[in-house]
Amino acid sequence: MPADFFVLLLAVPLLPLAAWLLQLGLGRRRPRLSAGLGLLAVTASAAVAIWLYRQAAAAPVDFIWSSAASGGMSWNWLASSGVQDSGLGAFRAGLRFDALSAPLLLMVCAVSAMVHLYSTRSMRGDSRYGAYFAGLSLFTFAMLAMLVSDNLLFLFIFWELMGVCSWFLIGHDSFDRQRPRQVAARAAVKALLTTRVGDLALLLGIASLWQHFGTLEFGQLYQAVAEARGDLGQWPPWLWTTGLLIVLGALGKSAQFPLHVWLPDAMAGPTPVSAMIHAATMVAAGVYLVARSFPLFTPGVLTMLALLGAFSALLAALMALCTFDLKKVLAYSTISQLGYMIAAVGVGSPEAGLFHVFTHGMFKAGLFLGAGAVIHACHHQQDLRHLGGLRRRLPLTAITMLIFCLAIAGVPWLSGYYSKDAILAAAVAGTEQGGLAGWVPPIFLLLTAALTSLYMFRLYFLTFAGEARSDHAAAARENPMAMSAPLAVLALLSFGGAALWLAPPESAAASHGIAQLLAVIAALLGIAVAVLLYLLNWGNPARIAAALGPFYRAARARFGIDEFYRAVLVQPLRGLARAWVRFDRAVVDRAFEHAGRVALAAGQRLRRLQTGRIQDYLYLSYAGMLLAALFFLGRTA
Amino acid sequence: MGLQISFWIFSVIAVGGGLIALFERSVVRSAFALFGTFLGVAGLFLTLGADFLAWTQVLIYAGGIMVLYLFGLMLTKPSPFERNLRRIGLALGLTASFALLFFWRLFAGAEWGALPAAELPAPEPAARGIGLAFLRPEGWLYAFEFASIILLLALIGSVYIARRRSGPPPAEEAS
Amino acid sequence: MELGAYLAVSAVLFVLGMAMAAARRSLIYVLMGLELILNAANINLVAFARFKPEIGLDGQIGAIFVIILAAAEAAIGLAIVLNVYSRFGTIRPDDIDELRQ
Repeated sequence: MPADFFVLLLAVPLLPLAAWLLQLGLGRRRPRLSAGLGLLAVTASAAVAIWLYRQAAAAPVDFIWSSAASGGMSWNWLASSGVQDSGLGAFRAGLRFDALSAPLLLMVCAVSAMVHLYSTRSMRGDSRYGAYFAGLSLFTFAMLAMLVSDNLLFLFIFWELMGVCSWFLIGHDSFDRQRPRQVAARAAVKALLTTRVGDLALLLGIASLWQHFGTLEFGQLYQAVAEARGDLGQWPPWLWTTGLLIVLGALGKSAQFPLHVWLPDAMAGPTPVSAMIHAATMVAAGVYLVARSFPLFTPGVLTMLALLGAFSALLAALMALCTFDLKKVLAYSTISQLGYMIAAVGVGSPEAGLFHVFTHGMFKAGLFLGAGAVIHACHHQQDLRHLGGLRRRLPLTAITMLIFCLAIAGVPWLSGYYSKDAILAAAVAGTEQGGLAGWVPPIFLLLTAALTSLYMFRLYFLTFAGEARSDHAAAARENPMAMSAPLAVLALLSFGGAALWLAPPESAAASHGIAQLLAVIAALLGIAVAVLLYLLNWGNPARIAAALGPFYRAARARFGIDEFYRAVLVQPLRGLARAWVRFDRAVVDRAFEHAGRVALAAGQRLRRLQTGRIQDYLYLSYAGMLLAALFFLGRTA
Repeated sequence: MGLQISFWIFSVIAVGGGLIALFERSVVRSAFALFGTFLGVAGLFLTLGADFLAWTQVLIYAGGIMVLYLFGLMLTKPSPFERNLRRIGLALGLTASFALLFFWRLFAGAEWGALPAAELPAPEPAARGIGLAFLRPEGWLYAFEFASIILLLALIGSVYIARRRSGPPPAEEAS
Repeated sequence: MELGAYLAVSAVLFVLGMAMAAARRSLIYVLMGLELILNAANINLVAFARFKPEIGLDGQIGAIFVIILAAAEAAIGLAIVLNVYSRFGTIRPDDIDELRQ
């Protein structure tokens, strides 16, 4: 690849960074201009990304364009003599563009541009309009930079930067000077701390790889693992723990069981933020990470990945079914779909997982933006029980939301159908060698597929069908163009987005036909039940819930996982903190007070040394230099 | 031989100028002695084959910085009787221990990895090489531009600092 | 002359500069002492560049940067001296002991 190709690749993340730097200065005084700058930068990035993607589409499927391999655009990082002396050589960082990152780069740019456009209108009137766009720009930079990095260290750096931006944007409303929202602050901290557990594991995993292989560049890592396995296919035993650590990092970022608790709370952030960060981009970074690290995973790690992903998918789908908050339903749905992707990597098909990331990013961003449009039109009413009848009031939103719902349910010939299908096919194919554990993912995933269409259409019918169940819903008016246009674009992408995928996964596997059939049946079954229960009002959902009794209550209470963490982790820690505070006041403070008194008395005496004359200080520094010189001479002599 | 003689002449000028500057009672005479030191150092540069640097030294130190000092002297009131021989002796004693340490290392046979004087190549005019090194990006171009910015900032800053007429001295605070 | 001779001259000038900065009771002397120290350092730079040919011109270029910074330092330093003089009416460092509370 020529050098200018990598210049363009570098420009994709750097444009939002430049916008961010400008926004830092402008944000407060010229909020409108700062929003325009952000939108402009992201649109430019998207244009470059489209060009790059066309190049990639013309290349062979297994193309890898690495700037380090092509002899340019690779920088020394931490080229200290210490690193050199360790025999590991300098740490080099460069750019990488391949079949894993190319589609995601396109998707992130497209979604980010749509979210920017949408936010220019939906965030109007916010007291920190400029700061909001600065946060979005920095986030977009971090995500894009993560995708073009060619090594795990840089991936981690931008991964953490995304975490910070996520904290900042979830907590956006809590910074408001007039009406700070405490909920948002708590949610932001919860998200940061929960993902931090995974991040720490990821850092340890990266350190372990560096220690054993002395490189973090993806190509070299793959090669090193292949060499370590040798011809016999023997996995080095330590790779199992390292793989688990990396997986834990991905579970935190992608909000998978057992680290999923932060995502529903993160819905306290502004809706466009949820659409971008907590649906389409940042949470997909975990899937990207496991897909990237796929060659490093031992079979044991992969099995665990498949089981955890499938379990998260089913668990979150059940919770989504029992939730009445419009945005939280979507949040659980995101966890569930991310579980799909993680499971796809686990059953040995990272391509299928990323394919789903690609299509899911578009329709899930659309769903969130649509939900935001509903909430915006209904004066912040987001309880499904108080919506309804919006089909006539918000026609454009209703139509686009219908397309998104059909896409996520996996109805044939929409984008979600193809990607979900690829995952199910891979899962079914995985049963051939997996034994009993091999059967769990396909069964769970099929159940989830049915539940997905059920809860999505429950949401759709409760929101748009029937009669308005509150004054706000009855008085809703369609939103302005800047908010509707992104919906329309994303609906178009959800309709035909699958055709943009680099190489549509081959349907050669024998299991493919069965998987396809089962998936379509599951999707239609879910829709049918939703139509019966929520559109035609056959049977009373409340009575069914009552019949399910304890199970329903458990699902409503998020299966007690949050409470469990609170009881097992948060309360003891808080108790420990309280005890520490008591100790601190009684012992440490008192000790310091005494120490302070002693220091004061000593200072009174030592003060005579402080003459305030600069030349006396010069003498003292000479004396210090002399001592240092004697010390070093003594060491070398 | 000629190189050795000139080395001795210039070192005596430099060190002698320094000694006079240190011990002289009048600050104006000290400044002129320092002028001699600067010229001596420029001569030493010449014996080291650094012709460009020697002329730079003459121009900037002897021509520029020295004049600056003379202006400084003219604009401030000299403080008479500020020379205190005991104090100078004390300071010299303390600092001379640095030199003693150094000489001890020198005569203990410090290994510098340097060529003996007899094997040195003949010096060449350095101006062209320095100029090219300053103007090439792979050389010192960025440091050079950066230095020019620093000089500009120093110029503006010194004008600002020197111009500012401060108000009355701050009230004495209880200590 | 050998390298050691130049280093010796430089060491002597360095010590004279240090003593001047510490012992003379006028801010002007302090600044002049600093210039002496910088000159001594320059002699070292150039001498090493001459006697170790692998350093090449970089030693002289380093010395030029030192001269540049010395010029900047002299300008700023004298400006500060003038400001101190207009504020305290003296440039005796002993009389300027604001730092002592």
